Amino acid sequence: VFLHNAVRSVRRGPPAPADPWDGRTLEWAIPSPPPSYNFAALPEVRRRDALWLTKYPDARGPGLADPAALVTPRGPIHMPPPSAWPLLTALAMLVLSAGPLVHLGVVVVGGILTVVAAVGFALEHLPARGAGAGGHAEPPGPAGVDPRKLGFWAFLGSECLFFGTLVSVYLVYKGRSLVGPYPHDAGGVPGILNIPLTSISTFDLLMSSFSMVLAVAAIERGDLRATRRWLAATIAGGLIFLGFQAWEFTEFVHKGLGLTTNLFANTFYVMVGFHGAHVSAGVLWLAALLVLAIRGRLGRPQAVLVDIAGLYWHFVDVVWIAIFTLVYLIR
Amino acid sequence: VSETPSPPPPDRPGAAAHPAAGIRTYALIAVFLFLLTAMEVAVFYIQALAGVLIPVLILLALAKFALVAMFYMHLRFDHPWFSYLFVGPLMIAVGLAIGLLWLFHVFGSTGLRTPPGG
Repeated sequence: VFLHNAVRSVRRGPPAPADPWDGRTLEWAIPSPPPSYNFAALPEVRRRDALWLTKYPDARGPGLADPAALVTPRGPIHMPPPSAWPLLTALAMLVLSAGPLVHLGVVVVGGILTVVAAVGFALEHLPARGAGAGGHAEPPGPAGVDPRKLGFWAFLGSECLFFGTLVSVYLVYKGRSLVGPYPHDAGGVPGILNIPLTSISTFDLLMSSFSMVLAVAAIERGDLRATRRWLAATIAGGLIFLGFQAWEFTEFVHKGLGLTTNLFANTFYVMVGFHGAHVSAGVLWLAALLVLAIRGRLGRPQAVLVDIAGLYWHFVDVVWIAIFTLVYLIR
Repeated sequence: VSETPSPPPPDRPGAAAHPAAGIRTYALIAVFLFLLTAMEVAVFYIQALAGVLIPVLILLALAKFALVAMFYMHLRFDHPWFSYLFVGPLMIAVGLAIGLLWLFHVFGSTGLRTPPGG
């Protein structure tokens, strides 16, 4: 009976008006069909049965402050439109995580789908191509803090623990390799680490942080041309660093230091390799921002996106500052 | 290079606005980072400083770390919540490292260390 009633009502029944039951509680104050934001303004409730007392006032005092304010927006309301991307991202991640149980190919497919869905999710609310520096601004969160930056700082905190663990394991096993090659000079045998070369790549990464902060400053003052220039410079710095790292790893392998050669190789490759993977992800991220900036989909209202990418880039930089000292310079 | 601080975007109150830092400050930090890195490498090669190599290098690295975090990552100017979220886990990570090194006798002399460079 319920299903019959529901189907018949949906197909042939008259549209339900707002407050069809002459309700007494607040939820019946919103129009029909209800807007996605429900209440246009935060209702101020002074009594129990607030709506009823508004409709049928008695001697007990006022009900709502102003029922009309509930359906008349007092200002622009920011509500993200309905989106399928979060669901698709979650499904793609399900495929990715189930992949190791099935086949490596499923992992690859799941990984690609996850990246595509995440990029689609990220780009969804940007202004359309060629729209210039348009778009609306995200409202600040509690205490005037941008919730995206807050979340990203929490992520960077977790990354501290991740790299802290990798560095700790390296230091614990430092000096306990039973066979060479060794990182530093030992017993007349020269160490494998190339300090001059790594000093140059360290300097390169530090300077890419400088260009990154200039890109953030440029977009915050609305200078899109400078934003594109400094983003490109940062990407170039990241690629040069990755080139140095690829060259270093290749040299090490040619000198007989494979992933499983000794404890030094194992802990070194995992730690430095993960850092390189982070740099690679950062380069891709910045390249995506550069493409958006060139296409006119990135402007001053989206400055926080460049700011967050900058935070990631600087974090990669400070991790390298620690690795350069603890791994390369301390014997 | 002129000092041109980024004004807070009027349409984004509380968002990415770093009015206290300007391009001149950023350039100055870059020069400091270069000098500190050069000092690190120099200290590495100076044999006379071999005895104090570790504390000097750690101090120089901490200075670089702090400069990037405070000025380039804007922790000095942004909301203190960001600092708490970053420094809290960082302290845990440092504690974890020290604990592991102590647990595996790295600070003592009972390790299984073989060659000095290994």
